[in-house]
Amino acid sequence: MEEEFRFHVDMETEKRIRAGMPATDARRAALTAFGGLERHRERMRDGRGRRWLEDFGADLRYAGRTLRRSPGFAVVAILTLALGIGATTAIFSVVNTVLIRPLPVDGLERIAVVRQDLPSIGLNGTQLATGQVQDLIERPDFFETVTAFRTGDLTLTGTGDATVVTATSTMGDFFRTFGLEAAAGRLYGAGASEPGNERVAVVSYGLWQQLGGGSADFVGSAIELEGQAYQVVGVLPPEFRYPRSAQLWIPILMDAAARENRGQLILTTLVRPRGPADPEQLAAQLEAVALGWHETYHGGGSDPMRLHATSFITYTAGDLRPVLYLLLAAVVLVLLIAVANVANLQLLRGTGRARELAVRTALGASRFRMIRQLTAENLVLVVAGGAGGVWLGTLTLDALERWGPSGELFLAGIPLDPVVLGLAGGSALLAAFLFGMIPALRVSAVEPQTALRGSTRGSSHGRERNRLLRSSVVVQVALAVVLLVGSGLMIRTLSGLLGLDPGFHPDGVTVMEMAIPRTSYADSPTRSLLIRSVLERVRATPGVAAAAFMWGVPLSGVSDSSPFEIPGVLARDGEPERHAEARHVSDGVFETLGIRLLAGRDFQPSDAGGPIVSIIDETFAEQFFPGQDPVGRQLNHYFGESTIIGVAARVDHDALADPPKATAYYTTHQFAYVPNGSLLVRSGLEGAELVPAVRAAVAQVDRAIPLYDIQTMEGLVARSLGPRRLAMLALGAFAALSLLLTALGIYGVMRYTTQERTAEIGVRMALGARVGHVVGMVVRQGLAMSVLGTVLGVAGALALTRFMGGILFGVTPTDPLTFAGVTVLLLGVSVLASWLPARKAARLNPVRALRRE
Amino acid sequence: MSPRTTTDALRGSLDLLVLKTLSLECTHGWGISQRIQQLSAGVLEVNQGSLYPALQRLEKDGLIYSRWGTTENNRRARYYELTRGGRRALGQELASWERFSAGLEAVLRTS
Repeated sequence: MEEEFRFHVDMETEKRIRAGMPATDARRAALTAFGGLERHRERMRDGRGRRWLEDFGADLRYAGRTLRRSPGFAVVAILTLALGIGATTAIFSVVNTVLIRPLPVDGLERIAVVRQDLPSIGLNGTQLATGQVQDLIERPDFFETVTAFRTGDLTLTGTGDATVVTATSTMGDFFRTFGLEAAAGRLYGAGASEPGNERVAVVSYGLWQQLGGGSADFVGSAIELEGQAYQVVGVLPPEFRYPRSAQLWIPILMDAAARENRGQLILTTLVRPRGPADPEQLAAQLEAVALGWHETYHGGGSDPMRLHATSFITYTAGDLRPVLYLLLAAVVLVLLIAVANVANLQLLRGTGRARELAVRTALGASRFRMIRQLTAENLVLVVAGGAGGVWLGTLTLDALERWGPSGELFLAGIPLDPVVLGLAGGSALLAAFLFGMIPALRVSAVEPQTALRGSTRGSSHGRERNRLLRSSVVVQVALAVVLLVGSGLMIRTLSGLLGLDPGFHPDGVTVMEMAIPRTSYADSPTRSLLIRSVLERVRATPGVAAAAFMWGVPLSGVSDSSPFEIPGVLARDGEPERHAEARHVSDGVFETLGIRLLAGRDFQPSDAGGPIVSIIDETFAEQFFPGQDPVGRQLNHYFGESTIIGVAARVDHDALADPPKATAYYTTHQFAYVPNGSLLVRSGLEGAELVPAVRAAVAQVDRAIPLYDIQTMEGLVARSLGPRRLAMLALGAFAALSLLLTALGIYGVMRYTTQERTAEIGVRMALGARVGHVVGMVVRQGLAMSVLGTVLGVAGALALTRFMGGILFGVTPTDPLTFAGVTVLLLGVSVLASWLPARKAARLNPVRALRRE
Repeated sequence: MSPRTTTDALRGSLDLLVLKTLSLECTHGWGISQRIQQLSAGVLEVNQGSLYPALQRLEKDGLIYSRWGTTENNRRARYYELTRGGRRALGQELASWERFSAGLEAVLRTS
């Protein structure tokens, strides 16, 4: 259209120029002749088909202005939608990834994790030993593939600087179990574990990029792991990350010792059963194997060991499942509250705008026009809410990755699931949109006259709307109660856990992983000496109060266990089977970690070269030396015969509040087989000061020793609480949000109803009612809604919280204190939310109030 | 076609002029205004403010249709052309105009 006009004006100008006019005059004259472009445009806009789009654009802009005029409504509505949709989608995405499809592998649901129960010791769900796995491999009639693995850190040299990589050692058919194909090169099979083969390694896609630059030459190149030569034979596809932190996979060497080892239960074992999926058959097969072992290696008798299988998917989700279900339920509630709240807001706003719409109808606006206007408004709202939802959802995922539990879970890089986003977002936005359209549809139902009068009091239309508003508030209150109860229980659980004494004092302790290169320190004595030298230097560093070296730091998930005997003492009846954890420590560990020594003495460097000594813990002493002094007694355990020189207090090693396991400590001054461990430093210094100082101290001994994975002990403790903490944080946030939303909802409704009753209030006050009486009337009304909602909510909570039993600690699902507290809180908030508009109404000048009619 | 009222009669005369012009040749908006001026020997100067809305209306009613084209000077312009319905309407309008002007003349000539 513009172009057409321009052409016309140009031609007019040319005509005048040809007639002799100067150019500028010609143009001006032409424009005048054309008679004002604006008017034309205006008139033509009314005619063209494209106008529909332009008109809608105008509607959208007007909608934006209208919304900006009521910022409170707009912000709250958009924020509510965004929060509801964003949080929902984020959590759904995590649940979907973790529970349903943790790995992009076909047939994942057929893979089972095999674990052992040793009921005589009270050890359940432990891993298997190499000899045991070998037995499973030798049953191809039962299992299509068998594999087992463990993960640890190794020093990698031979490509650039020395670096530490996380390596998974596998036996059996690891890659075939997952049906993997190499992205480059080949993936080794079970045969690679046979002695005599060249050592091969498979790298992760990420490591390939990092070390080999993604070039094909990297495949076939030689690397060194702990000084041993390996050949890189293949690269895994980028989507496969299991175990999550693994960068390198190497085969476990199955020499004679490995074949016979049945005591070191260190391998996570996976099997793919043969034949169609039949959990009963698998259970029977495993039982047969276990019984066979019991007869052959444990002499039969009572309380046989058991093998059982868990679905791999369930296993990897692990501790997180009940928490995730809980969060899922919470999120649904939040979504409901959000939608109810937005609906509330829309309804309230709709009544406020009835007048405006009536005026516009009276002025001749078509119904279609107004519906279009309202559509534009709701569209703006809904789009903003949706966009906010996506943004908040992404933020939530980031937060989950940072503060969520680490480990075998794949919380990193989870995208917002588009299906879920569509579902949650779509349903919420649709609901919000529909509620917003109600005023438009009502417009024709209400005579402009009635609407102009400003009050629909007494009309059936108004009564119906009030009922709708009230029920909406009641529902919101009920949902809020359920959420508040849930989060209240979680908060109490967490404070219970945090209040537990883990057996040591984590404050002020920094943990640093230290790797001892095998090339320079090839045997135990040299490593022993190294550790001693390092500790001497570190302890001499100013600011360091205490330092020690430990393998098997509490709550790090690192441990080892093996059976033992007490020479000369036969097992009594009812005694737990003799199986204990083993940890290697230097001297000074108990002091550094604040673990009390209950009897005897600590290790000393002078123990080196002398008779083997051990320190047992409280649990060990109570279970196997009841009422006696274990100091001085003999023990036949991990390293053979040792003399017990001390008893240490019980420590939570594996997870807070888990049942304690008997533990024995050995000293690195006598045995330093493990090529890495943790350096523990207690200091008042800040990390920024402490870490470089410690690094310098270690460098003084040997520059080539890397210190990595630096964290505080407190951080470790907190992270072990990860899942529960996550639940608490999320629930707390949800609960606070729902409380706020509900309060706003009550406030809004009460404000509206008092406005409607302004005249009535005016009359009452003119007739002598006191302010207090009027306020009380309104507050009672609001309270009535809340009480009903609370009662419903409490009933609902009582019914639902029983499903939380698994994650609670220290509180029952029907904890009266929590319920009472929530009730009081909610009723208090309702009173406040009703009181404010009531007060405002009562302070009105009665004359003004009456005149409003 | 919209129902005829008195205001429509005046509007209708512009429509008539446009339709007639377009029946002679297919041209652009400016061309129509020049042509009318020329054919009426300068008596009728089309209010350009009403021309384009009229064109739009006629197009919406399906009496003419438009397309983009190039002039001799290689300028882009929107060209209008009569449709079959437009030709029919032109005939009807001419007939009613003749009746109207005949009636008018009859009254005015009466002394």
